[in-house]
Amino acid sequence: MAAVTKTWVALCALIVGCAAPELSVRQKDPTVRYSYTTEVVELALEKMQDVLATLEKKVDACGNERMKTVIPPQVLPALPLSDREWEMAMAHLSIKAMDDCVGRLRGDAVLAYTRFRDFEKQVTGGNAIDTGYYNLELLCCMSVFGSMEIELEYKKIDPKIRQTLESIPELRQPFNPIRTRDAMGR
Amino acid sequence: MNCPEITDLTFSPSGEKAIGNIRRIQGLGKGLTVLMGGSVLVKIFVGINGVGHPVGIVWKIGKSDWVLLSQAMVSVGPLLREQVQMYAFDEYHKQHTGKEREFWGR
Repeated sequence: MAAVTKTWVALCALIVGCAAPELSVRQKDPTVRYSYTTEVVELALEKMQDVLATLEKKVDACGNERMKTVIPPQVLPALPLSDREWEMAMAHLSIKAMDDCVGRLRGDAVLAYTRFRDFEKQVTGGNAIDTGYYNLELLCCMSVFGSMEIELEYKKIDPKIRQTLESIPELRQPFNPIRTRDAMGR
Repeated sequence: MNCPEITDLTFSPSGEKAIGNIRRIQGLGKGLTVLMGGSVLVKIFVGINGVGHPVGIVWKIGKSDWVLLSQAMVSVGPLLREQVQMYAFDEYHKQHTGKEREFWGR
């Protein structure tokens, strides 16, 4: 009789266990403490949106500073540079100052976007959630190719002259390189 | 703000490529079209119904087109605005001369 009862209990446990929802099984399994899926995607989306909102504000502030700031010619030393070299130097240093002004936010945005898209794909099998105009290309790379072309031109300038330019505090804040060169008369 | 009229403007292959890149910026076209309607700069940067391919066309850009663009650019998101500015900035520095340089320098 005892053996029959044991078998019946075991069968019941098996049937209930098999029929129970996945979450219930996992709750009984001490090695799996949680099973969020869509919640993680939603949290990743929320984090991405927060970073993007902060990034937009920072880019706006730094960009406005860049547009309006003209460096007075007297701040810039007389250096043996051609007009073209001055142009490349001002262009590169302005781009670098803008990047420094925005700081790590751009990297944070790329990371948050990539995580969100990865988690979304893990959970839903695809990337269908609308993120407006934000995409990886915009956040990471779009116009950077041209900026690097300018940097390569800048690197042709004598390292000592570059060092002198890079030590000027005004050139480390966002500034308008076109209007600055206009002010220099070059 | 200095907004010059530019007449008889044609784009070099490099300028055409930059315009292609600007047109690829997702969300920009819709924003500019809503804010600027059929402005010549929308035809250049967005293209309307296939019209406005930059190659081989001689463009005339009036002072009011620049004013419209600057007003519209305030309304698009800072990240989109930055991308357009950077493409224009890079093009300006590629040693184009004359009218194309003036165009990208605006």
